[in-house]
Amino acid sequence: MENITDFYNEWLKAQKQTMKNWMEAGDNLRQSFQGETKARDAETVKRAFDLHETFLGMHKSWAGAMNDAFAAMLKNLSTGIGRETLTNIFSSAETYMKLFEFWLPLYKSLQEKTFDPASYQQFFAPARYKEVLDKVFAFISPGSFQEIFDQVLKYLETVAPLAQSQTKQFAEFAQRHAERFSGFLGRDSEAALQAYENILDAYQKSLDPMLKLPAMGKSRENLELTLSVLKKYPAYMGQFAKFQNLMYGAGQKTMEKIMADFARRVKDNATMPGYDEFFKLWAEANDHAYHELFNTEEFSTLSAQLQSAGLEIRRDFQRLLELTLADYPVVLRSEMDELYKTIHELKKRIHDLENAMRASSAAGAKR
Amino acid sequence: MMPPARFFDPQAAVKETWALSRKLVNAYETLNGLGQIEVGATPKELLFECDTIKLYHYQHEGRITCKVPVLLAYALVNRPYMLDLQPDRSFVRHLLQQGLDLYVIDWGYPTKADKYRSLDDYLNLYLNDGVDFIRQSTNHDRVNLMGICQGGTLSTIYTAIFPEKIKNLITIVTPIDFSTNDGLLFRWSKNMNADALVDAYGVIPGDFLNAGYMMLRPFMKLSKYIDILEAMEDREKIENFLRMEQWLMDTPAQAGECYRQFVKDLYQQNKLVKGGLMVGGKNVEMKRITMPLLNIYASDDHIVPPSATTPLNDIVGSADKQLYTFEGGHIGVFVSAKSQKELAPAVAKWLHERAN
Repeated sequence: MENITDFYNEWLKAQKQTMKNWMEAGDNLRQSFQGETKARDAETVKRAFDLHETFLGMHKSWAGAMNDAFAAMLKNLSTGIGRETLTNIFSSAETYMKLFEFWLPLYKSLQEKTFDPASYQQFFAPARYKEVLDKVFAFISPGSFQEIFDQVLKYLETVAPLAQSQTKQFAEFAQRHAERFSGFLGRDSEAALQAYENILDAYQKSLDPMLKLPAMGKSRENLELTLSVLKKYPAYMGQFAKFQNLMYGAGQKTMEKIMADFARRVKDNATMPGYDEFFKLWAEANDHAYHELFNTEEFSTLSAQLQSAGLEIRRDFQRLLELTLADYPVVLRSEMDELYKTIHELKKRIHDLENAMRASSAAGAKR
Repeated sequence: MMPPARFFDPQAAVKETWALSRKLVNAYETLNGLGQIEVGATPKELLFECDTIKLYHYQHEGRITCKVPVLLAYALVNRPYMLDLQPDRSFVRHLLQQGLDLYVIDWGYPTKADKYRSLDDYLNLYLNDGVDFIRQSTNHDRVNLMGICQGGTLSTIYTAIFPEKIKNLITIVTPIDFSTNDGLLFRWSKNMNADALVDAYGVIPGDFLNAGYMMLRPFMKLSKYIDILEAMEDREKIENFLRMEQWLMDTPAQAGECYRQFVKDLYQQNKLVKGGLMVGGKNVEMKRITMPLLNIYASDDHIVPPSATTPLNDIVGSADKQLYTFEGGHIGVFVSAKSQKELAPAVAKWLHERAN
């Protein structure tokens, strides 16, 4: 890309094409209902939903293209607060547009005062709404622990080659279920917890027998730590599922309240909001709802438990890394910690000695 | 069921996405065109440094009318330039204009090597060195100590340990009674496993703390970035916005042992109020604070709520103590127009009246 103007022009051209496609899709949509808005037969409704999906698909493509474009733009921006802020602005804009997908089906019916929440439910896809909330709470993610889990599974295959068949079986099972955890929304927490139980069960059957093997010296400690991490990961994900349940549940309830509020407005013949206003209402309602949730002892306790569970995994993993690296000529974290401690103590002693010297000099000067 | 056709308006979709695209490109061009954002603009001289800690003396253009030097101590968890964010919104500048002789201690950015730095180090070593340096270089036996937010907690503990070195104590939006559940940070910290956290990280990363702060009002943060898109034409407003962003994102890591004790002894066991806080083998007794106290709190503070700040006046031994209510929020205390007009003159007046 030569400069921002070239980029901008190219980008505008692509945008115009996207808009044209959208308008055509919109025309198709309208035509498919002309003269039969009262027919309401199953085929018509199905066609409408298909078109809705097509429309959202195009919107998603646009959002994807927009993200790619802005990622490219960010590369051209020097690091610093401008770049950080722009990253946050783009991320927020993405959430803003994701929410817009939920607004689209609302808009016309609100304008025409024909909205009713029951109909809207047809268009409200919880999995899509989860994406909105995931964007808002992007900083809460089990991602790093998933990485640890993956690494430990690989490691297990290295330190316990004889047990490969068992670990592989467990790994595949656990991976399959772990992926499911992140897909649960609100009321599916029971299923999430069941998945967690299944993983633990698989763990007992597959890996516990290995611990009954004769002692293997240092390797045994490695194996125990590895198995400990594997055991703790599903426990962590179980906590995470409960946490998600609270978070998504609050989000979903808030959206339902907003819809109920719109239904009342329609009934009262009140002025209907545009998207900007809808966004503000949505943000304020969620701000209030989440503050209420965050201020409960249940949330505080659960998030602390979640954090502790994650920290335990991190601690075991660090220890495992140290054991693995112990035979190599690298400085380990615990060794650096010892060094830091010694330096800290020495600095204090020097400071105390300097003070004593100053006091002694001052006393000498007075005499 | 309602026919879905009535739900769609492609034109609205096109209009909205087009408008947002334009705003985002506009934001890119604006932010790309801005140079470095300056914060902490008031000139200051570095007097001494020790490890990551630096002591500065602010230069003043006018006459010093309050001879007793004032040392500002800010929180460990944020940067002190909040007090001097921009020339027209600078608490520091206003205090200087009121004739005060100002110093500030900057705690810096702890690194992994600072894992073992403790509350004892911060108070009995660094802060005490700073206070002694000012006392000796200005020939004053006692200095005025002004602590802000967590820096106020540190200042209060320090004053209880070394009351003979402090002439007047000023605390601003300072947590003292940690038993409250009015603020989310207070509620969450009570259940936190500080040992596990410090043992796992050593030095608590700034990003970890930032994640906690973002959880306080995640939807307002989202709205903030959407709202600012409307202001991209207003360069001054954008620069002000960026200064605040700079401060919000600039969260130093926390030295492990200090963090551990702060969470366990204060947030979880509330030892400042209940008693029993030990720092470097010294028992912290609040009744030893007998000098004049000005305790400033913000009525709408959701980070350090009034219920955490106001009890200070009940537990110190001072006869001359004043509670000052600022009508606003935690950040507004330093950057709001009202604060510029009202707070700095009030603080300066209070200090002038107790200068002799």
